[in-house]
Amino acid sequence: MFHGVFVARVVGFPTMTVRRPLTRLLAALGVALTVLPSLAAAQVACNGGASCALTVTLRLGRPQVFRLALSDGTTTVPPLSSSDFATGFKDVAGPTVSVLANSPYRITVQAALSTWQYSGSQANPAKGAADLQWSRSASGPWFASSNASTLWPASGSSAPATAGTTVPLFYRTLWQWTSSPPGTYALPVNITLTSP
Amino acid sequence: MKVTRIIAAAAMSAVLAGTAQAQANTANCTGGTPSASPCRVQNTVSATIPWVARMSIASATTLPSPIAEDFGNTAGKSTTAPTTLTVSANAGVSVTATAASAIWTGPYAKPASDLRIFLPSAPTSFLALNNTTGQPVFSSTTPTSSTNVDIGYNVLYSWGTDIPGSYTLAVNYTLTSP
Repeated sequence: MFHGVFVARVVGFPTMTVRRPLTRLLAALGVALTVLPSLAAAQVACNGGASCALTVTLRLGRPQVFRLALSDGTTTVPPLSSSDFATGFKDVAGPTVSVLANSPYRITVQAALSTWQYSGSQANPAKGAADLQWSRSASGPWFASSNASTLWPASGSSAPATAGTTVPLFYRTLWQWTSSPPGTYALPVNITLTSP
Repeated sequence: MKVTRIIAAAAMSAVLAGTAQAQANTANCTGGTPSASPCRVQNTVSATIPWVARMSIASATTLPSPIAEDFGNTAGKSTTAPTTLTVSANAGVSVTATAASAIWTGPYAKPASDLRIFLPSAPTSFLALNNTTGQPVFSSTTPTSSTNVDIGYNVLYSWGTDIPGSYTLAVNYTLTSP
């Protein structure tokens, strides 16, 4: 679906001027310029005289486009102590989520697996994904990653188009004496952008 | 020429946008029409958990004062209320007790072995303490959360050596991974 039309005036030699700020914005957003094949293949001609004028019409498609990026693909929980087990949790700052979008969007967070991956000498405790919680703030509130929850917007069903929004992500990992044996744990978390 | 370049650039951009849709499970995702194909990036949270254990106990225990019948009695003088040791561990654990020194501090060099420990469940099975070898107090092959271990103390008194005064002996409790 096309939402706009560009008209470039060609004088003499087929040169064309396109407003640069727009092209830069489009490039930043990763927008694809689409030129109708029929127009691209159309012939333009200018015959005779010291100068002549041709009009070339370019149609610009404006699809929904976006960019979603994380500052880091991994988050490592600091070493735990007995005090962390006594309190039952250990917090860690996660990545920063960056968004560019030309239409309303929503970002959700959900663990990619139902249980943590475990590697160690003990039997796999099948630690549930609910033992990983996330928040927009270091002080909470915290949401279980076992269910898909909206990271952004903080309220409402969708956020408006943005030329750059960053959302911090914080994790709270839950640990229990009897179900968190020594070993290495990993849980992939999906951060998903959708249009409402 | 410039028209050609712009068209070529536009075509290339369209190709890149199309391939970006297929990206997933990376730290970046760029594309279009998220309603048709959600953009997904992934962050993996990892943690390395060591063997972790914790225990707590009252810092001091006052033993009952002996009476004449306790001197020379091989059954010694026992505490009437146990001291509770609380143990937590995320894997198997054992606890031993050791005297911190070979003798008590006090008016007489009372040997550490005059202090014995026992479990209330076996009130006459005494384990004499020394400062070299730990006596077993608690052991578990599975994780434990706040397990209470009651410990009793028993002291031997001798007419010939235990002169009046105040005596003190520190006892070390040691957690180890079996």
